[in-house]
Amino acid sequence: MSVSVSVSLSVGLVVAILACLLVQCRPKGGLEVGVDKVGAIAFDPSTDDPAFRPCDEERIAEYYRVFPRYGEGLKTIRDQLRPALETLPGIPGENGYLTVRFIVNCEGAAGRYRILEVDPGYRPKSFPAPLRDFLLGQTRELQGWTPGRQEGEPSDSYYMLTFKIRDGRVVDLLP
Amino acid sequence: MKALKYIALSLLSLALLLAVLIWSFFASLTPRERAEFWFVQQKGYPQGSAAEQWRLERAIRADSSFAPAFMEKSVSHNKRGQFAVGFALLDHAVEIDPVEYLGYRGFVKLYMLRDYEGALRDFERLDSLTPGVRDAPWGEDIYYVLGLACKQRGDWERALHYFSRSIEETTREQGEDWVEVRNFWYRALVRLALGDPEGALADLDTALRLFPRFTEAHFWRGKVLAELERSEEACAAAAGALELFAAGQYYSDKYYELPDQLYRSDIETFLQELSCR
Repeated sequence: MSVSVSVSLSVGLVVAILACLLVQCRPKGGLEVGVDKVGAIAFDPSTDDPAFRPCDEERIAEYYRVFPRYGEGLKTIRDQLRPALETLPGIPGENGYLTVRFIVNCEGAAGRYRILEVDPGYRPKSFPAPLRDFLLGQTRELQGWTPGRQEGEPSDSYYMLTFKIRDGRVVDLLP
Repeated sequence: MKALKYIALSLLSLALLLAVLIWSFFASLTPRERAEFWFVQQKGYPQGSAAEQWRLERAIRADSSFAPAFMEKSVSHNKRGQFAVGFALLDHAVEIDPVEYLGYRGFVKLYMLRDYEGALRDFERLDSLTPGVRDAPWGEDIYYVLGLACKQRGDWERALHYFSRSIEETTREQGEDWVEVRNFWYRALVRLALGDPEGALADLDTALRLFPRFTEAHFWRGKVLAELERSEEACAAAAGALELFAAGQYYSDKYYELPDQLYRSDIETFLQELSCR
């Protein structure tokens, strides 16, 4: 083995080992950022409106960090949706939680909706399509948010609205 | 040239030695120690980040009986609405170490999912597993949260029992100042539901004696006074509540709406109903 190859191999190996041990990559800002974190919602051209865009795809914070708001909060949402929710006919035996997770951008627009469903034991389930579509549609009606704020500036954020369902009727809004 | 050769060989030897040492270190660890190593590592990354989740997964693979890794991995999933994944992890943590994690699971069910029956089961099981110990699930007195779960189910008598127990035992052991003051507020609401406005008023007065800037107690005192047809006092109480609310003095939580969360419009609507001068 030539000297230069040995030196290169050795230095590379030492640097790699030290990098593994010592280098700790810290995401910027101290908030959970990035497109591969838990619950990240990437653009899906088959379902998402291309006109809706986050202001910064790399810095979408969670609602509990930057506090986006719809009116006064859950009370306003509840008051607005109540008339429509009361029209649900009910489906015996359909119980659980249907969560709509979406993005509120720095301009107060909402988009990129995703549905997550569980039964009362928190196991995956699928509610009937008409119920899912209805609740998704109601959530889409919520536009004109007060965006969250990060370091004093309007910020994109993830938000979630959970419908607690009993016999196909919404009995509560969370969280 | 010879010197360079020696330097190269030395560096290569050093690199190989480092590699052997690191391998030996990991090989000498027990599965639990490996799991603890990765668990400590994940603390340096934001909750819910890919880096944090990867390290927690490594901890779980190293030792599938290491409950803290399951619990910690569940947190970001539940906070972000992924309850199927979150509870699969959290249920596993509870299965491994029920005394440590039943309280947290009960807390999540009570506040984030309003699963009052589920929360009750968890808190009651925790209480039964620790005889002679007053548990504090996620920092709250167990009798307070049991009372709250019962109240939210409309189980008034049991709610009354648990709130009273929380108040009495804390008072006896540490003094009244240490009682979670919301015990008195929520017990007042229970008394109101049971048709005892005078009892509710007494509780709210106690709450305000202990915590004069308790906005929710002022508001509900106004409600009770209105029910007792003491309108002028009701107006004063409601006005006091609005003033405190405007000053930012009210209970709230960044993750979820609290039971009986008070909103500004609640107070304003009440004042309008009273037609206060």
